[in-house]
Amino acid sequence: MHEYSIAEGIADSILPAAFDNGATRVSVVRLRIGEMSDIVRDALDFAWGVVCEERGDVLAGCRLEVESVSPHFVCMDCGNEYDADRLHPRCPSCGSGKTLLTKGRELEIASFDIETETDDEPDAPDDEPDDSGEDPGGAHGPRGRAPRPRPEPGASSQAN
Amino acid sequence: MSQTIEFGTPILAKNDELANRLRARYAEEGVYVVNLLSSPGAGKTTTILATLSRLSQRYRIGVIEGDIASDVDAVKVKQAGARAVQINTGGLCHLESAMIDRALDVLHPEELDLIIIENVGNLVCTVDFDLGETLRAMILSVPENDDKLLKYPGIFQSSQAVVVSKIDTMPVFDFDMDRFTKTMDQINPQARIFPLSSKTGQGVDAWCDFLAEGIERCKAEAGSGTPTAGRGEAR
Repeated sequence: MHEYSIAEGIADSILPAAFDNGATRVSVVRLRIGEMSDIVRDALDFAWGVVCEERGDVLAGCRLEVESVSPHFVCMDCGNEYDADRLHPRCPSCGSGKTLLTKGRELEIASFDIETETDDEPDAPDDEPDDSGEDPGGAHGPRGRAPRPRPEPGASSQAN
Repeated sequence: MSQTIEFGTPILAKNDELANRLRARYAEEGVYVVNLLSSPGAGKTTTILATLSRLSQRYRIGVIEGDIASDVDAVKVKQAGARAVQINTGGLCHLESAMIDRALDVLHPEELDLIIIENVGNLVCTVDFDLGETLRAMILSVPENDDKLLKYPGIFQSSQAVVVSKIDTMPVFDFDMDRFTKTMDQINPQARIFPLSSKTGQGVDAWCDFLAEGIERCKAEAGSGTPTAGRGEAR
């Protein structure tokens, strides 16, 4: 479940830039994810939902859009450039295994959409006021769950 | 008002930038750093102990042990005479470069020739996190079977060396070495393969010779401005 770390990485990257641009809300984040990376889309969406809740109103309801990038190789022997599926990286022209992957491992934030406050436009009405606090019954599934704090790993001093 | 911000930034930029700084530090200090990946129980610690028994007379070795909890591995490694740091991730399924950076404060890489990072046992989550390593190696044990290649291709494709451990158990498992090497040749033809048994010692010398070559190359290149190539693939 490293998708949680990925989701946190997305929020850590975009939020400073969003605030610099006067964002009150980020509505969509567009990602480019290489097919050679091991990201599971469902797990990422789930983790992103958790991270958005933790980060408050600015990411409320923010969606992820994912563009998939297929692997692209350069043959180091004959110079051929080609797309291939991840399980067949050998050069289709000369058969060489000495290849360089130039695309297909991306984990990249391409762009994101923000909403900013302007004087002539009132705030979009929110669905609910946000001071409802904890739901004691916990009847709302994952929404009622307290976010799990990220562990604070540390190297214990055990060197000889 | 709505506005699109063009960003074009890696999601793990923070991790990757620190990993690149670590890579430069390793190259400058001439220390060869191996990021060792596998599933839990494939034999990372046992392979490290077998490696230490052959290389610790010739080289100064440090080990970074990544586990969710406990220091059992670090204790074993220290008993084998190496410098060891335990990182407890407290639930996180992989190591990140910031953890390595902190571990190096304790390990003092400038006094070492080889650092082995034993990553958290996991075939998926560890793959996307660059630790600045000189070599990424993984271990597949015979009991796990050779079909793991097709089930978890990512880790096999991002590793430059694959150790096949516990080969002394071949008679009782269905692992097909021929099929394994053929599939590896298809999905990652550039990887080096090292079948070994830490129990009988078979194949361990070849693996240690390979590491020794890397260590010597790293020492020779230290400070000469030609750092050893990092990951085999463009990122």
